[in-house]
Amino acid sequence: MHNIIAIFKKELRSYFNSPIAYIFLVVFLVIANWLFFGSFFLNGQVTLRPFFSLIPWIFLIILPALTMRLWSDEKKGGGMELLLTLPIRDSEAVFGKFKAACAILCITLFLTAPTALTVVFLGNIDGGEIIGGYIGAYLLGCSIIALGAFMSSITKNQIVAFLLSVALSFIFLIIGQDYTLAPFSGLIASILNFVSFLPHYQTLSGGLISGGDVVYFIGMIFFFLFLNTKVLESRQYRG
Amino acid sequence: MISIEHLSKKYGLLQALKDVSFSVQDGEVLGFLGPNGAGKSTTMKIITGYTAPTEGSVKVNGLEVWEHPLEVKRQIGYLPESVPLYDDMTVLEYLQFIGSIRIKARSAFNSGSLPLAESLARVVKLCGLANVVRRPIGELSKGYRQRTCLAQAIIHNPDILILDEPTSGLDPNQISEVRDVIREIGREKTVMISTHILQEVQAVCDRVIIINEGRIVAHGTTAELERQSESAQSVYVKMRGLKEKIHQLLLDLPDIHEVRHRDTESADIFGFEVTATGSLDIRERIFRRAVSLDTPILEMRVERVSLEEVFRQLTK
Ligand SMILES: Nc1ncnc2c1ncn2[C@@H]1O[C@H](COP(=O)(O)OP(=O)(O)O)[C@@H](O)[C@H]1O
Ligand SMILES: [Mg+2]
Repeated sequence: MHNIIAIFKKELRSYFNSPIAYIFLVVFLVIANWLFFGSFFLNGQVTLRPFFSLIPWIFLIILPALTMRLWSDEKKGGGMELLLTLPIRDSEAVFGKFKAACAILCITLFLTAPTALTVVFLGNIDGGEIIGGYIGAYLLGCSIIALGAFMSSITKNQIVAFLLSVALSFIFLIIGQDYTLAPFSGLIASILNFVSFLPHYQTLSGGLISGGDVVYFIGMIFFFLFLNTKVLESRQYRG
Repeated sequence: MISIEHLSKKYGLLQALKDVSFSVQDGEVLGFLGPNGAGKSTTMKIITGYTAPTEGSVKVNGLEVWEHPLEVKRQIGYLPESVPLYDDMTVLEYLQFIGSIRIKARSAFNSGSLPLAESLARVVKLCGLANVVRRPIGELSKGYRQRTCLAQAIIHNPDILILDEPTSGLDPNQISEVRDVIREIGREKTVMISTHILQEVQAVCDRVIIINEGRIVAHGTTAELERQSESAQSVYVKMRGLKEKIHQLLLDLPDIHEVRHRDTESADIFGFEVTATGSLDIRERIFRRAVSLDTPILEMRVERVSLEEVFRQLTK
């Protein structure tokens, strides 16, 4: 735990030492508020639905920007050699970095809370929907972060890491949609539907907080972090 | 102690190390000398557990790096050739980050390490970083960057230090400062230092291993290496007589590789350089032959070649 915290702090510091964390925060808050109040003033409707339904697509673009440098940067500067010869496990480095990016996401979501609360007071909104929405958004975000960290570990180039993360996250978002499932038959369709991020997120943000969906996201996160660790370990394969 | 046996490393088709075996004794400063691309960094990356060898074994204090990565890593301080630093951190933040990990890992198994604050103060003093601790690393000169990275390698007071070209890219003053630090540390620690500069080896090392194209081509103390070298057997001899006769006299000796006229003191005094095959000492033979042919020897000495010459020969 000590080592994970050390890596976490180092990573968080470098986020806030560079413009990336601030750009991330500002972009996300501007979009979120625009969606809140846009729907409120234009439609006269007080709802968080447009916000939560757009979140996957906002995440798709901005989270890979947050994760693209996680490993690519270390590879370029030689930091990888230092990090992986420190007396820590590869998995500790992977977790520390992952947690740092999740912390930025967490702070960002937290900063949307005042706006969300305003909407809650103005309207008559189901509390379960909001809590489910936030839980879903956080878990979905962490899954995309884990995927992005993994992509960053396979390339030296940040832009490549970004594009790969966007592409792969996009696939994970759309494979569960009706229009992608149409050509497939029963079993394949239900597998794709299960693997996809979106159906699980939609259940949660619909206010239905089911253990299965939470476990699904945690499983996805561990799966990508596991792959990330394997990529680091691959430097040591004999041959 | 580090013991390396039959180490080989392939990068795809390129064989970077070929059956390398050697050991580094406790308390010794070992120079790992070789031209660029010889395989020095590769060897160090394997010892520090960054990459795995294709074949062979590396044991650090009896533990196979491969099987006990954490136990081995906590005993080692490593300065990679790339001098990895984080430009956005200050020197202090950087040393705190690395120090907190290294010291914690070491103190869990060994009581010989100081708490973080004291360790920081010690390395800042030892590496002369007092003036820059609060500066962002990105603003530092090359010399300070090198010393900051050296400081992270020794912050946990490790038993074993692996330094990959610690003085490369520094100016002469900085080089001698860094060497002073290494010498200071080398008094009690096991140090392995790679370099392609000979003077460095002569300045700080007890023993040298010369590596070329992935193979060890020589090893020994600097004095031993000078003696071992082929041309170290050459003898300078000054005799009185006819130039051609002296030349013939020397050539007729057994096991002679080469006889070369070097200088002429006067019309009948000539200096020659005689090289024997193998590592024979031929001075006595020269003396006996000269006596038997009644040709006086005025001067005779073994020519010492520089380590530079040894290195040039071994790695050409
Ligand atoms: N990661 C790598 N991939 C492929 N080849 C490498 C890699 N690292 C080193 N090499 C090659 O291995 C050889 C030895 O390199 P290195 O150990 O860095 O030499 P040195 O440190 O003595 O200059 C060189 O020919 C180098 O090009
Ligand atoms: Mg090198």
